[in-house]
Amino acid sequence: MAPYFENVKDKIDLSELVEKHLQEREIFKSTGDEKVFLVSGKQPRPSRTRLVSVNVLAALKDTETGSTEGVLNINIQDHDTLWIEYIGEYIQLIMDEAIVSNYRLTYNNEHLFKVADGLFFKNLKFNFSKI
Amino acid sequence: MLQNLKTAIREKFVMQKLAAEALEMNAGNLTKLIKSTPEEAGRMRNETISKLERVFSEYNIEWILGRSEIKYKEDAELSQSAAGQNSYSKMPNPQGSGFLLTNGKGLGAIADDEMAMFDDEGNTKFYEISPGVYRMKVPLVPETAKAGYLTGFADAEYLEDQEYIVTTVYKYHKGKYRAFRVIGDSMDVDRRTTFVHGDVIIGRELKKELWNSRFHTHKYPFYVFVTKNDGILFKELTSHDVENGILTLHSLNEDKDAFPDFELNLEDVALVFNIVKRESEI
Repeated sequence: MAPYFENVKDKIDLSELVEKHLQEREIFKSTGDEKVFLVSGKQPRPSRTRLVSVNVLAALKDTETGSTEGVLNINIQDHDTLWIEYIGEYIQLIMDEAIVSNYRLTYNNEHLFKVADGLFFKNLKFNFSKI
Repeated sequence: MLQNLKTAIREKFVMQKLAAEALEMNAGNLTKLIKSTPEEAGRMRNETISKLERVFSEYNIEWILGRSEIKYKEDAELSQSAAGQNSYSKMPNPQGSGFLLTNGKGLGAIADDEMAMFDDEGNTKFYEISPGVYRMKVPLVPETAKAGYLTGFADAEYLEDQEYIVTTVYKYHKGKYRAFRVIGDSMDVDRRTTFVHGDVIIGRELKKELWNSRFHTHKYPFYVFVTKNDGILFKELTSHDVENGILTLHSLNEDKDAFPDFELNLEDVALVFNIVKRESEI
């Protein structure tokens, strides 16, 4: 029996597409102390703070219907929880119900973690489906 | 509708389709399964029930099917075991003196008259069930008590009300032990050493005066840290900077974006438990 689903996590380029989509926003074009380090999860992390990384957590293609659905992580890391909240809210506003290339994203949930003394990490989860 | 199945899927999988994949069914059939009426659930094929038992092995299948209030399999087994003990206790002793309190099948249950032992501080209870084999009774820190754990921890009355985990050990263990239930999937990895949501882990408390010595990172590298402000953490310890009291903690889950390694200062920690045993279902 053929499997119902195919794991396509490594075959889709959604993290790069979302990274480019975000990069077009003014807030991600700042330089100097205001610079935000925006990377796809496949790239090394350029900074411990003011870091926003995007990665596909899971992506499955339904072999019967051909549809692809998955979960995208957008992670924000900094020492300032206020900045994390601000940028998290902003990302949620612009990415919820957004269409990036041929994917539709829907905000799912978020969690804030303390990763070290004075360093915090917010994980935003978006469900996505290929249109 | 099988609301509990829906809850278990939400707790264990980031998307319903991953659950469908694990259950080897298509997405439509899983949706139909979740929407089953109690009558339909009663007619569920054995093959489907076996798949549910395999994928949700830490959950009580009766709970998933909406027929029990006991969520986790281990709790259901303990409850059955306790019920079994009661029924044995009512069996007349063929030798004519009162009632039999245990028999071979009742090893999982601890009868009141079995030999009980306490450690030097009166903490952990042991019951000898055969020479060199003991049942150890460990308080389970309940999920719901986590937020108030620090204030309630030293309260003897509070501990009396606690749930207990009973586990088999082969030697007398000194010290203060506590059991915790694993929450989330940060320690879930496709290897022999994995801790899935719902597993019960048992830890031995490391007294504060020992925190100046290097913690084990080889034989028993897993620890539970009860932090002063951030609840309870369960992680693998990868290094311990003894001089500065800094621990580097690691999640087994390979999704390093969601679960990066991080440092924890022992100043932020109230209690440390070195994990010595995992109770899990296959």
